[in-house]
Amino acid sequence: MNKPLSISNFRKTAKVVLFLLILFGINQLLVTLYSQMTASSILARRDVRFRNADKTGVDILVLGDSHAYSGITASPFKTNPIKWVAPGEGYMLNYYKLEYGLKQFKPKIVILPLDLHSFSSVRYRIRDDSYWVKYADYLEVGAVAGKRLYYAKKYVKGRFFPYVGAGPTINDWAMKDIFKLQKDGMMMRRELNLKPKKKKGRAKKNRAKKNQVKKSQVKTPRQPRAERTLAQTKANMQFRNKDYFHKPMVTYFKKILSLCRENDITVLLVKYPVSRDYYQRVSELVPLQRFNRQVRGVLNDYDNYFILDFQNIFFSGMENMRDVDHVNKKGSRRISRKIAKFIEKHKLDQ
Amino acid sequence: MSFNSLHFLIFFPAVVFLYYVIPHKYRWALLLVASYYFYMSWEPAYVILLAISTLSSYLFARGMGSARFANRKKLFLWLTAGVNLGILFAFKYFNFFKDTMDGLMGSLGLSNPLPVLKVLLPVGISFYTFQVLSYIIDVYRGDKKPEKHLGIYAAYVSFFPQLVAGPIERSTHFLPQFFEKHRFRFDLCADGLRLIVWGFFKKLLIADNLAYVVDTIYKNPGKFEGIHFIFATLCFAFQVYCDFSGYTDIAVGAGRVMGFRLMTNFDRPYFAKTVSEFWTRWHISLSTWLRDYLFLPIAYALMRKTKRPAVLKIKTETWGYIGGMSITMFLGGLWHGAGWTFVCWGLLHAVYLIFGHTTKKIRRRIVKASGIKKMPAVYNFLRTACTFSLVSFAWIFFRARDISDAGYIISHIFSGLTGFFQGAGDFLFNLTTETLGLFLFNNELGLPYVNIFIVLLAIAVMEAAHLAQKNRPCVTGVIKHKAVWVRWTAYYILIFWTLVFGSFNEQTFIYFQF
Repeated sequence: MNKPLSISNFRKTAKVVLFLLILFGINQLLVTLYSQMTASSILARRDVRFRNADKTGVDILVLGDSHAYSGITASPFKTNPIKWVAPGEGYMLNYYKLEYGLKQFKPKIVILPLDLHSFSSVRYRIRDDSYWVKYADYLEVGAVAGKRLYYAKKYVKGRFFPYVGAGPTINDWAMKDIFKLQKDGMMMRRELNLKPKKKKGRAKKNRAKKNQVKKSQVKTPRQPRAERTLAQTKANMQFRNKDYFHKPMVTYFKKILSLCRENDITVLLVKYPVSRDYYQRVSELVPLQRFNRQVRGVLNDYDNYFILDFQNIFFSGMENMRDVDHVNKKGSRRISRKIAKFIEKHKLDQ
Repeated sequence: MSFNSLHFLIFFPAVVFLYYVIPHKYRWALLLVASYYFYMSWEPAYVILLAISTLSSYLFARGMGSARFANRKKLFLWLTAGVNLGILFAFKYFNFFKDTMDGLMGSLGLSNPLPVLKVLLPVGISFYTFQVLSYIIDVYRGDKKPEKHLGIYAAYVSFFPQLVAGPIERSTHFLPQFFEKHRFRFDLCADGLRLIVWGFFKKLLIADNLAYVVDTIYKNPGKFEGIHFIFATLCFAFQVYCDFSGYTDIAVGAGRVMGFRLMTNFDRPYFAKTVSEFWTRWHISLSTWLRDYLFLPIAYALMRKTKRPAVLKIKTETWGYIGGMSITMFLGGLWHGAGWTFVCWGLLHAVYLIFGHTTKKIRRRIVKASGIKKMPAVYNFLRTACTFSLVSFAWIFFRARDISDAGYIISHIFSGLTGFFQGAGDFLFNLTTETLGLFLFNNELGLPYVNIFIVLLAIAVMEAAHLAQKNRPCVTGVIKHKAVWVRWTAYYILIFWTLVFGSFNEQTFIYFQF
């Protein structure tokens, strides 16, 4: 009686094991596919300059978010800079990038943003876990934020099941790589109920034709009300948690400065330009004097930094701005030249 | 702790493991502790209400068992009903009652002295209250002997898979199962896991994704037009079904893994050919509860009170049906939520049912005269479509924030349809990669269209499975006896489809609020 029963049990157990093995196999396949095709590919595009750079003689490392992404151009720098930035990254992620980077090369200067939103709690986040598990210490991130379980869950998800609930990421990937659409601009415009962006060239040409003047003489009309709305929306977004001086962010800011001090690196803290509308809206949301006092309080413990304040240099117009808190190519060149001059003047690269 | 939380994915296997490891005589204790822990993970304080409900019904049922006179038994029945319905009223209906009184007294120029109760609605209170009431009524009627073992009775009331959203189990069916010695059975366990996967597929992939669309449109009806309302209402019909039946599948599956047989709560309701058939397929545990403990007693009482065979040329039986159905559906609507929208939803169903009952003969004659019965497929399809439309229309009241929103949606349901078709035509004529991309990733409905198509495909798969189910009692019967490669392929597709495109924001189940 026992023999057939045991064979049956063995078969069942073997079936369960085989089922689970295939399940894990498919899981692993999806993890690899997801990392190769979606999350990593999106982030790798941002990293491309870092990955392609010759890291042996790197003197300047640029870290930060979209402000640094649009604000720094490599050409004015005489020394070898690497821009390793991605939109949305805060001090916490900057710190882990720096820590990882220092294992590969030793820069003399680190350029870091010191913007109005730099300490906002909104920036204390990790979005693409499958990418960040390589760099970030999730246990530490959780401990600093007092959310150990949350970040432990994120680590497990990023490491073993990054594709779970990945519909939106796959959409982003399909949107950008298959349909060649830029989501952010499009969505932002739709949310604000603005008219879709027209191709500048054609609009200018039509206006030139209508007014019988040269195309170069036609100026693109601005939308002041739309800019104000955009400024308000963006500022509200950055400070939606109302925690403009988030303690965990301060902790990581200090960690960056300490790490740089240990490695004899000078930190250039750059306040990237914003529009007047944006600044005004932020000043309504954040007590700026108090905020500046708090930042100075943190910086008092360090001496390896310089602050370069470009916050209000483009208040007069939008010629150098792409939008309310990002500069365009022209603005980027101007800022980069100023930073390069500063480095040269103070001989920081020597 | 919701079924779709990581917490539950650790909790459940641990309970199952312990359940089979410990001796049978201690299993009730494990289930009781696990169930109370499960319930306390929402709001620890509300476990007191569950305990009061359990203790009162246990003690009064024991008292009823030892009572010699019918009056005494009745007293215990009313005491149990008073305690449990009192708790339900205080926590669920008091503020609704106060608001209604405010309105009434305000119209008379008086002020209402009643205060606002600032309390959270205890999860699943309506479910366990009805379960307790069914037990006490069964004991009163003599269908069930009072349970002597308090621990086992408490485990029956609080059994965690069905505690917060049913099925509302009858003591005659479910309580004896706690005395059965459940041995681990591979087939039962596999069947339970199949149901759990199916439940998650419905909940995470279909219901939670559709929720984005429904919420977007129903929160701001002023921003949308008729076609959106029609689409959102159809989406809600599937959302509420997949959400609730998904929960039930997980509950039944979880019970089955431990050897328990919970009752079937849904039997492909959208395939019903009449509204009355719909109610034999939708939330069966509640509809049978309402039938046995409300409708039939009320209908019989009305019929008994009317001593004439007909009133206003309408049979007394019909009056009994109309009265019983109106009161039952009114209370059934109110059971779902303390709001007039739910009452309207219940009453609208009462109207459907009464109309269906009273026009049965006329409709039969029309059908016979039209000759449509000669084409049974067409006839059945039309009946199903008609019933689905009526049920979906009633969902507008169920989902709308208030009566005025429901009125707005109904009055605008056919607005802007011409414009929509023109726009669709223009879109198709001018289709390019860019316009297709812009359309697919358009998020105006709260979910990109590309994801909506994925969910619609999932609904098609679900309905195909329901069609294939035919007369089988459970959907897992469709796949259970297929070749191993067919079964496994189906499991992997369901699992990974849910994992990749499911919504993992730990959205609660709709019926938790009831």
